[in-house]
Amino acid sequence: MEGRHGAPTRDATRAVEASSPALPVTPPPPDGPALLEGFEEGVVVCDRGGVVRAANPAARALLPGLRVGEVVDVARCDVLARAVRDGVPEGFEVVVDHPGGERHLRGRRGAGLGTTPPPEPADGDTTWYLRDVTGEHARTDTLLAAQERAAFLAEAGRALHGVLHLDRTARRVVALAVPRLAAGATLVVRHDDTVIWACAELGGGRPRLGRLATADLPRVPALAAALAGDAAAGPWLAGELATLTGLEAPTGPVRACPVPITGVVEAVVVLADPRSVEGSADGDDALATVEEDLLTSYVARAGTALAAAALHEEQAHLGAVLQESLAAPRLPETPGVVWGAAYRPARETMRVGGDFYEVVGGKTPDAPAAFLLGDVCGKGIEAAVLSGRVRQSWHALRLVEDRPGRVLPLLNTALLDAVATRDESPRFATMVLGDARPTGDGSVALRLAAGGHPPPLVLRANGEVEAVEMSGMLVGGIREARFAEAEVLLGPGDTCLLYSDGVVEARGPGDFFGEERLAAVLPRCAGTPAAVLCEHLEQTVVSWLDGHDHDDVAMLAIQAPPVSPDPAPRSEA
Amino acid sequence: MTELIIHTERTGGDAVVTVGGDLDYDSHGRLDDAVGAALDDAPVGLVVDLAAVTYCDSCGLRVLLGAHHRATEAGATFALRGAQGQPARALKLTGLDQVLG
Repeated sequence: MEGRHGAPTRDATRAVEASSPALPVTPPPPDGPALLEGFEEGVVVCDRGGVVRAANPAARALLPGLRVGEVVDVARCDVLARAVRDGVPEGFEVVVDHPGGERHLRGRRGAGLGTTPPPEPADGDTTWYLRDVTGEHARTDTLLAAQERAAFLAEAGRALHGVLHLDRTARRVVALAVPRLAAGATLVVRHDDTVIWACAELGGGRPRLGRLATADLPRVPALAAALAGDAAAGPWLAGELATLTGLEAPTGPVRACPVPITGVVEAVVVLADPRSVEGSADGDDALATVEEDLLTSYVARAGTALAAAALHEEQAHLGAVLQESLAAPRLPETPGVVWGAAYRPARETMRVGGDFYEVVGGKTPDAPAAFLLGDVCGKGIEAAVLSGRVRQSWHALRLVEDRPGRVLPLLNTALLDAVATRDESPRFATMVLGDARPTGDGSVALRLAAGGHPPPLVLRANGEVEAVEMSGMLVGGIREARFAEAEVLLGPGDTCLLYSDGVVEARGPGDFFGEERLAAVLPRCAGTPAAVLCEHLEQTVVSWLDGHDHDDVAMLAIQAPPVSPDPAPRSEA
Repeated sequence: MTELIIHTERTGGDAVVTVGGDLDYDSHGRLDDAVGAALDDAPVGLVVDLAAVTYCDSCGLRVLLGAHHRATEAGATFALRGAQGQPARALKLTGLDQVLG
């Protein structure tokens, strides 16, 4: 910091002498000028009249207009001039013009320089320190902008995560874009044969949403092209948006941002008055690049969320359709026989269960009604396919073979053959099937056959419970399997209950529900209509589960109507 | 729910797969894998010990039946042993105790 004697200092000294003739002229101490010279901070000393008495090179570099011996105003830094004149503000930050571009200048009033620096301080002098903080500002701005972008993307991630509903996801995608990315945003999503659009505008409230068929897409060719991934959408885009949504067309520039192909949905976000313009219109390449990156990240996130929502809806729909086909067939009205049923699929919605039941009324009043209750191994689509195979085979076989005990071996062979032709691993079912024929005296004769299934229980009108002991092997697993047959006569008010293992294997806290508990619950249900009995048993099992997960629960009750002057027996719809 | 535990060891010419816990929809694939690995070792016999199995659903039964098929195809004998409680009831109910015994 010492030993540098240069011309500027001498000029400054002379200038001070020239500008302040009233002050005693004192030659600067040898190290004084050097001290000021070496300062990285700009130092300006002004007298009480606002005349610059001294300015070091750093100060002159910052304010090239600064002249020692002239009023500070010529430096064209108004806030400094005001501060010198009024003494306030004592600190300031200001942007000044500079040949090298705008500079951020931070100034503060400093202590007097004491006795050493030139010039000798005079009463009323003020000393100002100036610092170039342009770089600092740029760094701070960059940091803040980066933080803001990161916060935006984090918010986008949070808002879109796990929505798993296509409409809601679409609304959120456009809501996020406004105002951060654009003054308006319209999302168009194509999923299967449906097109969903969502539109958000600045100050427009909740995003609007609509849908139409893909058959309508030819009306909006530019949007259709953008949906297919063509970003270079034409000037008709704004008009087509209006056609699609029925809302007013955006007036400003629009930009189509195709969402990356996910294989599930096609989507495009059209921004109105986008903040980021392709090709860096304002000339700031760096800013344009990061804004472009932000847009890319946002669109990618939107794509992932939309795909996840679409997939989830597809699966949920598939599950619902399968569940519908698997469960709850309508119970027929059959003279002389009352039916009741309950079906409670396993809690996990995506795991379509393997339990099923079917009841078909006789063609004529005398013909028996046929029924089937069973359980296929596995869950989900695999189980749905197998139970479909079992039920269809049963429907066909019972037309050609009416004795339940003969239907079962045929079904066994049919299932084994179906598996063998496809090289599948063993798939089997357990079931009880049979038919019910009113005897004309108020009783119902049942013929039953079982394969690998929990034995049916008979609840007599007097509350006695009997298990119909039938041991047979599972169906579709072993070619040489043997099955069991039984005949049961239900007197008036007697009920035969078929149930899946989900009932007895319902695991509450600690233990299975079990056959014993089931048999213990039944006597209390003596005399209740079949549908009420099933509902009561289902509730009992659910209470036993106490919130624990469970397998499918299926029940089918066959009842001979009681003889008492009971109102017309109900059957479950 | 009890986690499925599988341990395989070679006793003479036999591969003995000892299973414990719940053999159900969620876990049956692991036993299937273990059976495949045991048969890769070309044992004379495959023994599946179910003594410590607490629960066996239809998926579990399917794996056991599949293991029987696979062992037979590989020229090995198959034996099931030790089932108690619910697994034993399930095997009896489905007649698999007679086939797989």
